[in-house]
Amino acid sequence: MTDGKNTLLEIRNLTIQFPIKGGFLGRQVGAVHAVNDVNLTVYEGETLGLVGESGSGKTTLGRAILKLLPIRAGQVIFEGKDITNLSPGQVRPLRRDMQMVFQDPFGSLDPRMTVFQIVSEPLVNFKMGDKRRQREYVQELLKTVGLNPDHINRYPHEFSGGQRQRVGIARSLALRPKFVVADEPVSALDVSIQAQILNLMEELQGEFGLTYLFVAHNLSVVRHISDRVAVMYLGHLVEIADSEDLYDHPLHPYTQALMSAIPLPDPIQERNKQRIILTGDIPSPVNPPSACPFHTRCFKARPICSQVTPAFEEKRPGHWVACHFAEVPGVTRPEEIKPPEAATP
Amino acid sequence: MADEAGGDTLLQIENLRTYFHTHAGIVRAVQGVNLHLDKGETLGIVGESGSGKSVTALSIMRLIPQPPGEFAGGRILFRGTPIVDVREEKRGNEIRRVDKSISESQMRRIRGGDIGMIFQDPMTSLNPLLTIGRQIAETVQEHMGVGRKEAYDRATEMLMKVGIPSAKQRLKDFPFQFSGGMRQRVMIAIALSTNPDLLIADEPTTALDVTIQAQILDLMRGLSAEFGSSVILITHDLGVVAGMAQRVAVMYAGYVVETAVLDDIFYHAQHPYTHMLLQSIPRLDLPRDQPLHPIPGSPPDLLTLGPGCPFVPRCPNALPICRQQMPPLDPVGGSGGHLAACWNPVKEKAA
Repeated sequence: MTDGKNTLLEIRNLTIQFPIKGGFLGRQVGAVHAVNDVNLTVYEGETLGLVGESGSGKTTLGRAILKLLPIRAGQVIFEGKDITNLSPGQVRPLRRDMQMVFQDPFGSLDPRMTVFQIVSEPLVNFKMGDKRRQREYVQELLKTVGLNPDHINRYPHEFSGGQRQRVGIARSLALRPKFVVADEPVSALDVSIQAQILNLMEELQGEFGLTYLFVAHNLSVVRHISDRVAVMYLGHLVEIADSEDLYDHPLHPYTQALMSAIPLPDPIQERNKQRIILTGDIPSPVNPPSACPFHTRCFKARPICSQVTPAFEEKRPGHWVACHFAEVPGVTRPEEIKPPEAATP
Repeated sequence: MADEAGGDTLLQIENLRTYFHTHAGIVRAVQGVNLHLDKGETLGIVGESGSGKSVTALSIMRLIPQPPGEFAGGRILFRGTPIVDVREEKRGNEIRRVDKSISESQMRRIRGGDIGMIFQDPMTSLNPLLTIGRQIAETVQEHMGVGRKEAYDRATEMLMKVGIPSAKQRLKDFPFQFSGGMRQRVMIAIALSTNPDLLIADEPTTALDVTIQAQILDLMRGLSAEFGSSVILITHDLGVVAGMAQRVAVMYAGYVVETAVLDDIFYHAQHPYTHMLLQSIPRLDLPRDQPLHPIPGSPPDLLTLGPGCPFVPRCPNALPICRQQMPPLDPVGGSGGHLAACWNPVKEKAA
């Protein structure tokens, strides 16, 4: 599935679990199944959106790719190189190529450092340039992200939320990375400010030739900025497709429910909308449901869904989905599809 | 739609000003709110952080801590009862502030009884040390003058109404045993348990996931119809408003800058802020490559506001007068009840 696009990052069968310690001796008594057997490819120069609700594992996945979390099984391949088992020392040079923008513009900047210190810290770490050169470069970067370069000696508290997020973006770009994981970069910002940051990220992508993994729960935002979108539910990747295709023809029932749940800022459409209201809550990732993780809330669920894990299959070109009853639009309705034969035990 | 003099008005807010005295100066969180709410109506209040929407809600409930808060002027009339009534009267050369608000003991009967409130964060708005049943029953006993047994029966009934399975058993559970969505259902049960005339919901679904938000909004739609409560829904999410409200008030920097029926706000916005806000959000219902038009700059600092319109620094329509004088909230547009506070409203393109 290359068709002219170069693979930048590949994730193979990635599984991440967090142990739960308990009891007298602090033995492991269980595990949070944060990410389960996820396969994902990120192409050079694209923006891949990763959506899901809380507990879906989207943040964990983003962090694991940057080697910020231990990986239990599977591989992360960056530019053809397996980086899964690199030691911290071996990872260091990679940090130049892979950076992160965090959600919280308040918590992610050290309040006791000036903007110059914050943005130049990566340069200092990699011993790049002298102080004077760094200063010029940071001012240049501040201009690029739409901040006043004269504010280089200011502290984070002197900036608004949106401006702080710009500082965070400037820091992530200081080393000219190829790949940036942006974890909910606009969700802490006011509505009128979100568009500023989204537009900035799009401009910078062209200017710096960046590849983004854009993690967010807001599907309208993700659709706007992403070329492709991956949907996660309870640690599983349930659907991935081109942005247009996914939003026009969601195939997984969870994606369909998610789409219909988004309130549209248009009264007429809201009045005429078909709503799919899911029952129940997201199950705990400590005790995930058997087989398909979504069967406990799914409006299409049949017995097979709790017995056989649906395969992640390409149902339309570039459109992958993990569901026994993925609806191919215009061809079949779920009632008409015969469930595949359950594997005989 | 009944106008302000009509008999159907449940709540009337005139020129409300709520200030906070801080060491940095006076924060004019609400500096000129005019609103009215009819019986059975759902009013959406939209605004960003710092726009004064929550302070307006807390003012209606009289939950503003005084000090540092202060009602600097204006009236809130609930069924004609002055929840807040602070006026300045001239006596000779002296200007004195006259407070004709009802007493705290009268207010206690209204708060939680005739007016129920749902807060944003279902984690912190329930008492973690008391069972869910006790927290609902307490409200019922206090306001409906019934015994303990009846109050608990009512609690069970309410939990069933808000869709909590095995309600009777869950009465004995503590808040931590409920998920976020379930806790918000409990909050709704408490708020509606006394059959309030008015329900104030302050960002009721902001802390929840999208699919859970859909459940809660669906529940609120059904219940406000069943109970006949009027609802004030406060949110920053224009989508939520579009699906829930009949009328909308847009707030900015402590002012109501525009108010109209739902469709007029979304399709014929007159205030530049409303207009730009609608164009700045990514929308699922429009083509993906539709460019976003951000509002430049950031919301103002409430400590250092000048005399003019607070939106001036970000406004493309600004005129010299805008810097000097705050425009009044005046009728605009064709249909009745559409008000905007702007000297130079958006000119609608001929369709």
